[in-house]
Amino acid sequence: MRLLVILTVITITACTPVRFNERERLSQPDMTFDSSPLQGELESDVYSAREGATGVFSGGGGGGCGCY
Amino acid sequence: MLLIRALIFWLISAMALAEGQIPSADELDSIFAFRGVIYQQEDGAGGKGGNPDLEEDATIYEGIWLYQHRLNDSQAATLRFTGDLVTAASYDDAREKAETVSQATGYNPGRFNFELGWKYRSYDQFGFGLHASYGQEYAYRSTGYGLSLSQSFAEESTYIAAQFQVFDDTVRMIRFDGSKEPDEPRRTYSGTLSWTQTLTPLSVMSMSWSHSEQNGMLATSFNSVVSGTERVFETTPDVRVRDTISVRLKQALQQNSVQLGLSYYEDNWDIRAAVAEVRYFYHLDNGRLILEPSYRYYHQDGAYFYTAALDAPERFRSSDPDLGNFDGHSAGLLLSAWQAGWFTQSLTRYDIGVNYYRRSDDLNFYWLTLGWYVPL
Repeated sequence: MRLLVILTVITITACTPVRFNERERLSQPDMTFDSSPLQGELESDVYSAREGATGVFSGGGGGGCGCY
Repeated sequence: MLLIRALIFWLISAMALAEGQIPSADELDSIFAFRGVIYQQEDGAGGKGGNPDLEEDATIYEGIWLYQHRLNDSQAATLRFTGDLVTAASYDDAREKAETVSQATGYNPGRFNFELGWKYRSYDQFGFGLHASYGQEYAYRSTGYGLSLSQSFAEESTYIAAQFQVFDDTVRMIRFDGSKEPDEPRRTYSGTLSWTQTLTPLSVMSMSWSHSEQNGMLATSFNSVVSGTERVFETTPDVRVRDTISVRLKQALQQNSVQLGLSYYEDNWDIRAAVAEVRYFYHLDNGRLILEPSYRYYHQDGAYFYTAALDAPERFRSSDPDLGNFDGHSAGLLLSAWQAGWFTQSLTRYDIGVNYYRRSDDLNFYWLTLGWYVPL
């Protein structure tokens, strides 16, 4: 938990404004966190069915299926 | 004039296709996507891993189909279907083969879920979405509703989103010995806040907090616990409050990129979990071929009522190894290729992948993934 907070604060305070015309590399598919709309969802289904935790790197948690 | 415009459009499209430009995605674009998975968990007819008293072999085939149609400049509609075939130990099998129960699939191994959604995005980058879903499986029915809000700031360098979901579920009370009781409700309320921030022209980060509250029948009705010389039902508290925070960072490295993720989870059943993940995106053929190796570490401290077996029945008890203490190491490899599509001028993305998950309690599993993504 402490590591996450420290990492987040360092990362956010280190950021600088990035203009529209500087985002050529960021616009490529591999620079989005979920480049395929279903890949993250499917992985989340597999992990949440076999692990006690939910909502890891994705939203929701615990409803809509017969698992925990 | 119209003919000249059409000719110019065709020429630009043809040039783009010839150069193999990968289409840049817009969240409202019309798309069709499919993702399929074959999941295999082997327990060696019980006793090999997880809980030695439970038969935990499982084979699952799952497919997700997504169609999104852009209605106009600011709206899109989505239709999603999820279907599963699950083969695992069931109470039907238990009665016939005297095996213990880990999953209730019975003679009807199917599960399906439909979801209808609508998205809106204004010119000043405010987003709003609604969705509703219905799903059903052998021992479970679920109705869900969701709402999402988002806003981009600072030339889209900052993106903030909120999602809220409600599930109103019904659990069929089928016990491990085949006896039945009246249906029980299970309700889930969940919310997620996320913040995505562009840090530099080569890096972006995302952090999220997910909170959910559940009440009702939260145990798995057909699970059992060994108590002395007999077998008793699993029982759990009827309220569960869960929180997860996650941070992800993505960094471009020339043509390639790397993604790091950390997450921490806890709930009022005393389950604590930590996740660390790394993914590398290796570009080949000018980015039309992407190789994505990944590694994920998971550590879990189990629920306070988890036990392999009891001498005498406790008020709350579970022998489900997924609620116990374990570490998990997962490694995967995904290959994605952008190729000319069958019925669209845009390039189509094909995926094939394999993942292996090794647990410290020896309840290991693997899954194969096939994916197809078509910008329409």
